[in-house]
Amino acid sequence: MIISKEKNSAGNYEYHLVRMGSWEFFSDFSEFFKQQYSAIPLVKDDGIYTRLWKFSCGEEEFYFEHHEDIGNWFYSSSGDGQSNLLDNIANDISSRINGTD
Amino acid sequence: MPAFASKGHLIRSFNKLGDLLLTFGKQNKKPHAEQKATNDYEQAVLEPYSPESVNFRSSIFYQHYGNNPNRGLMSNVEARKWYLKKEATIPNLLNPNEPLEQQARKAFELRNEFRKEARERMNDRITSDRLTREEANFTWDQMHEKTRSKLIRNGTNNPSDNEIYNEIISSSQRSRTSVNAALGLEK
Repeated sequence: MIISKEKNSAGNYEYHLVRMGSWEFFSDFSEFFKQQYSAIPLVKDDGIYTRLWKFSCGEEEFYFEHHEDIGNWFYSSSGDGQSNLLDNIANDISSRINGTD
Repeated sequence: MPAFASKGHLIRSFNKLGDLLLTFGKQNKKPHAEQKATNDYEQAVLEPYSPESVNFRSSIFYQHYGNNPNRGLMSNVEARKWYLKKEATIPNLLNPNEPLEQQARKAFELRNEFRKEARERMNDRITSDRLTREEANFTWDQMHEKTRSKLIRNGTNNPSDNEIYNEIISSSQRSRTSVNAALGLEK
């Protein structure tokens, strides 16, 4: 599995990057969002072992989060937490990474 | 006043306006300026930018720092680097002869300790204060549960305690190089 789609306690869907949970992978995927989806980082909040960035992509906005003990995951900032865009991005990442170590 | 007044006339008008404002200011002192604060908190509310108030707020920030003599000496990036350096020493600080659970607990405690100290070392006190509130450390039970969920997500069905302890000591990652190539990232 490349991406694990999970419903959080607030009812929003989170897309967790499986075995790609490091601080450095966060930088790589942020770059991927920017390069492949023209996403624009609106907020960059980096702590000692956590990161929370907010991206704007077309009409949508989403969060990308890192916690050293949990990993990296992204989720929609819209009210119902559902997003076709994030589903598409998750499918894209899965098809690209499938088969890598 | 004519539409195009002379320079001298304008200067005299501005001087007159200045005098008027000065008189107005003297007659209409802010009421709170005459109030007397009975403690530091009241002083901070009444005169938020007085030296006493600024020092009072600073002292509240410093209460988060404890008595660490190295507090407030590093930039945010330096503090993060310091944390990574200390985190890398954790495997050497564990006793491999101890049970795995003991080693995992020790790694967990050391990591929390280094995180706290990294925040204390930051000279950006506003961010440090915010991180102290927002980057709250997990308890051991929370850590155990989060790691269990992480292993299940990573494909380990019903992970054993030893698998959880090993993951807490050092987490497994994919190769960055192959992932970056798959993502088509330009360097």
